[in-house]
Amino acid sequence: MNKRFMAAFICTIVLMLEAAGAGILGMNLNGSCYAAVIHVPDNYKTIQGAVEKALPKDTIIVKEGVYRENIVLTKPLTIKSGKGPDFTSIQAGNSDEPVFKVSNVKEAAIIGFKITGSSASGIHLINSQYNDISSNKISGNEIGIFLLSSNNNTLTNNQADSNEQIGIYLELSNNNTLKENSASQNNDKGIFLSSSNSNSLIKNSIYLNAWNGITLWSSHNNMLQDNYVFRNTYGIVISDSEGSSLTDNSTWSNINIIMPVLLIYTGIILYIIEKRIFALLYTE
Amino acid sequence: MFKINIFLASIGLVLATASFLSGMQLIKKDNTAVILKIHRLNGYITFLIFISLALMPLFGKGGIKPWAITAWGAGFGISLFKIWAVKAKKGYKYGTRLGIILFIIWLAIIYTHVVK
Repeated sequence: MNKRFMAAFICTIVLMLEAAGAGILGMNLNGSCYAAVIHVPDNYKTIQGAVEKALPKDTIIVKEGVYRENIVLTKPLTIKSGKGPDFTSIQAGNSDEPVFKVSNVKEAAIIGFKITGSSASGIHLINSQYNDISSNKISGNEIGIFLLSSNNNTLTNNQADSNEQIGIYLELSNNNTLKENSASQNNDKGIFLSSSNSNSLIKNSIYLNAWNGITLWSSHNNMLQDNYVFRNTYGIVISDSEGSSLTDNSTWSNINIIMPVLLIYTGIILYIIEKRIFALLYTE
Repeated sequence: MFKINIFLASIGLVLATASFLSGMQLIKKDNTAVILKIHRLNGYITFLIFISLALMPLFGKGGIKPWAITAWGAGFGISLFKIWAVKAKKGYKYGTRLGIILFIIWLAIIYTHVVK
């Protein structure tokens, strides 16, 4: 059998399996496998079940619902929710473990989940590079997103709010981009960089954390731009860190009392001015 | 970083304060014609800002939550009730209380929009 005939034969078998509803693998006309799309719970009941059977570069789409499990990811897969974090929730099956543990993975993605209930962390990246963590709502964990020795990852549009300790924690992690995330109302810090260098923090919103909004500890050459750091006990705290650039960050602590008082005071002054102007305009 | 919702909410509280003060003076029947104009102007602009703030989440990527619809709906209802009460000459009976409620609503809006 020549190569073309062999490829066509394999394709036919796969297509027959697909047609029978049994298969989830695909193959293109050159005979090479393409990234398959796996649906949970249609193809596999659990996300971890789908992860174990998937091949690198496959996409797992999770239907709306509440899933109680811990997911260990060791290959480059895209795992995303069908309808977004308001409809697709993952609670830690074992609360001692992270909900998502991404270990030694390059170019994986976790998109659009509500992640809760871990006394370790919501999403934990260990020795992982070039991963995309976006549009997740991560609350009620010890740490929201924890990057350990992980470089060149992108965290976008996540809400790491109301966690027991820290919203987003980077340790020994370099060249990561944190953009348009929220790290608010955490019981300790919003974003914490420890021994992590050359990371970019852009347009993140950090409110009402019990202690520091953004902390750089022994972390060098980081870039903080256009971050919105309101009503934390301390706004941006930099300790034993050199070469970081801070541009156009808004830091305004504890305006919850001051701001309404100022606005009411402005309203009283406005009323006095209005009264004078209207009295002049409508004099008889 | 400029955020339009914080800006609008701040303007709203300033105008709500001015409107509330003019409303109090109307009850005292003090210089009524001029104060009434100030009260109406501030009141209607505040109401328009309220509606704009309520509609903004519809165009945002986060969607709108059921509790938010309930809260905005309640505020809208109270505002309409206030306008009706005044038009139906029941302003003196209900006006003060409704005015205080609307003012408290604006404080809540400020808190929500500064926090979010």
